[in-house]
Amino acid sequence: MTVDFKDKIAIVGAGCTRFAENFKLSYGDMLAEACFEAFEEAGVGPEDIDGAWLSTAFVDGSAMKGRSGMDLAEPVGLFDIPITRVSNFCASGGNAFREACLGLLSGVHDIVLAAGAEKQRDRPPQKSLVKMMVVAQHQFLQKGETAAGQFAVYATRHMEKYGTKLDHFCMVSYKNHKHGIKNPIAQYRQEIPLETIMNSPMVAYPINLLCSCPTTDGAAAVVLARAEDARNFNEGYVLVKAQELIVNTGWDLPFFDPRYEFSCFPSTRLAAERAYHTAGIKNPVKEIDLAEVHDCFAPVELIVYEDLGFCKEGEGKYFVEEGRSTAEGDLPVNVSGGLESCGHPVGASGIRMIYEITRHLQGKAGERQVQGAKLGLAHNIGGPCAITSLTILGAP
Amino acid sequence: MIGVTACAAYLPRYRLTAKTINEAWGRPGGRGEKTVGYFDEDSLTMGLSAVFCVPNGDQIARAEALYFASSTSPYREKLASTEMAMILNLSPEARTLDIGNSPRSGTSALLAAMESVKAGTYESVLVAAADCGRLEVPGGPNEATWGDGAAALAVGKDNVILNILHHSSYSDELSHFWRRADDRYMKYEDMRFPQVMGYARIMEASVGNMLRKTQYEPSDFAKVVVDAPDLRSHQALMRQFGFNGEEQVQDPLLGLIGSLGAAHPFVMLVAALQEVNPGDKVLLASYGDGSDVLILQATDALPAYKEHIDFKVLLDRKELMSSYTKYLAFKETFEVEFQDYYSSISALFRERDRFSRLMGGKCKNCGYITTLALRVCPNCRKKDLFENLRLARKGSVFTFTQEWYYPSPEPPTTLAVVDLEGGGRIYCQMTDCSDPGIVKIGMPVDLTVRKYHEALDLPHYYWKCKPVRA
Repeated sequence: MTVDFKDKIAIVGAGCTRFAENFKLSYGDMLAEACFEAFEEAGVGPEDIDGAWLSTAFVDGSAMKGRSGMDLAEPVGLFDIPITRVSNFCASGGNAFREACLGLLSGVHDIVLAAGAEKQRDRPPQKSLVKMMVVAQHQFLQKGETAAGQFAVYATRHMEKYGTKLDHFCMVSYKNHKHGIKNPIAQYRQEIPLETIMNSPMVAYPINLLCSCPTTDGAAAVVLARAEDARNFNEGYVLVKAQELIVNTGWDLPFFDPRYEFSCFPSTRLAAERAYHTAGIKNPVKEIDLAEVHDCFAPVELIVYEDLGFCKEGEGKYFVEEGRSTAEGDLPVNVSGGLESCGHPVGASGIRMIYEITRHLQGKAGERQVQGAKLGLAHNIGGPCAITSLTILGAP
Repeated sequence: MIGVTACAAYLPRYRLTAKTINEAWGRPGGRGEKTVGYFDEDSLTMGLSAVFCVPNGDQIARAEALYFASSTSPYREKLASTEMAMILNLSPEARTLDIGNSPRSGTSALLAAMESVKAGTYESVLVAAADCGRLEVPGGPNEATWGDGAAALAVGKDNVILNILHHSSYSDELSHFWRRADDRYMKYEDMRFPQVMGYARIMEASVGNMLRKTQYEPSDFAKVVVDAPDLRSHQALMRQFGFNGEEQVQDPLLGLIGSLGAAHPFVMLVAALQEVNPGDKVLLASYGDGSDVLILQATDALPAYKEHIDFKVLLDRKELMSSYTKYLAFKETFEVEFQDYYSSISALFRERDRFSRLMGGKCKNCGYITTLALRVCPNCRKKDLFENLRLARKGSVFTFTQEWYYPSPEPPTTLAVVDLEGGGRIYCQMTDCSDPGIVKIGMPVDLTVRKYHEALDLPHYYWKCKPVRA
């Protein structure tokens, strides 16, 4: 079932807008900005792209923009080619990236675009994701729950089973906010004292406000080609080592499934097992130089340390406590600042992470550069936990 | 003989004291307290709660009809009894009937049930009586008068605990308390006039007629259970008839729970049963636009039944409302912040086995139990092999969260993943829980039906868990 992507696909251009409250930019403006940055790096124009995938998770935030491939065609000038919209919750970006890779691997396409955008701040934050969760879903099932609550039930169980404390979640958020200072595209670029995070108001116990990502606008894009053609575009290309997309349960099912443990994310575990196999990774902490992992809410990152095999089950708390995931640690996680500093424009986040890893592997990550990075990992979990996208990238 | 085969009372958890009300309005003193339904309760959910309190579950399964008595039905048009019968999974051939508009409606439903059994139409009829939300205008002198509560009775011929020996009804138009079709608050004019010319006169006639007709002496009754709109009127009436002392006269409980409308005579009856023995006679009378009077006699089956109902526990299992503001939020001012919840009447209909009736699906191939409306088993992946399975209304918390951003008059809203006894897992809100600190993984919970919201201007009832308290 696993597709062997290793060293067959290259990212030849990448672009990303500021992740912020982009009040002056429309959904289409952001896509134009991100895509043209990627085009320029690849040395191509929209007329050179022969297939494209657009990732937008939710379309009710901004005049229904993002419903279909058309919403990429119009602002970016991509015409007369197949364009598909991809929606798979927080894994949408990784999913669009995967489809683009498959398009190349099949031989149908030669140069493709994967772009993601989400316009959340045309509405007040209370009306965006919170409203969707509380209002628009099934009349009874999960009623009363926000996005934070969907992950909080995992955090509660993890605390009970492994003795993880609220402080540990706050340490994750503290680290990510500290990392965010050095990222020019991040929404928040300031250190927040641990005590302030710990004392911030509860959103959905045990997740508090400063352990939650903000509501943000943004877009990101990558141009891809087959590895053998990569040099025709850009000397600084990076290679795909593995890509996995796993859906292991449903939207309501995990909460009503007596088999579910709530102390790990099985979709992430399976994706890691398969991706490491494809990429030939035996010891992730030693071999991976940096990781961008899904930290929509801080407990998620802590649990994902365990699921990605960065530490043993139940030991995520030590991994953060000992500073192993800081920029200076043995496996820097979310040196971009993560979703907590960058924000989480859902459809854009997965591609923003791939952009981030690409810049590090190119040695172009500026102040936040992880020195000598050769192998990086980008991870998203969504829906709330049913879908994992895992991408491993390497320098040629 | 035809009689009551089961009965149970239900009181909501919260109490509001007259003192708390007076303090809020800058008035001195205040005695007594009343029951206050949780913000997600109404007369329909309370009627169901009372039915769930009936010790012998077979009584529910056996019922061929459900008569619901209330002056505060959530509907003006639509039968609460039909919705309750659907949730209780009664046969579609069951007769459902809403009786309302008076605190006398509870006993009227009981008499109708008795007559249905007597006529041979049904073997067993379930009666639920509930009132929730009979309100005085905020700041008015009767704000501590009306409480919320419910009772349920089963009527039949077998395993009778209280035989119905005699019954009579008395109808008399007099404006004591009333609400017009669209009134939110109780209306009244004079206080003394209806006490003298209403309650005293009407009850003298109705109870007096019954005693004359049956030739019973007041001393023939082990318990006298007579509803009353206020304590003084009750005391005067008891004196008038020569009913004596605490042993014979059942306290109307008005200072403890308030006046519970249609449910009140039955709640008093359940309280009185603790001291009733086989052979004892009980006088039961309601009041409202006249009066119904019944003479009941305890059978040998009563002592065993009584062991399952402890009214004192029900009365004592309470929590004082911390503030009048919270009471207002529960009863008056709280409106759901998001008015446009998704819902669909066709979805409600097609999913009612799973979600309204709490029927699980058990896979005939692998035994996996689902609480969702699925066709393919997530465990063995075979299609259309789920058989309906009645799920337990008991379980324990597997994990939980507490939402501070979900609109509620009492945040946070606790959501719990609950493993049910005998299998199946459900994810739902927790109710009757004002202290989020008590919620723990592993805590035992019961499931009960509460109102979630009113999407489509339609009350949406679904299951919530609530802490099991000693």
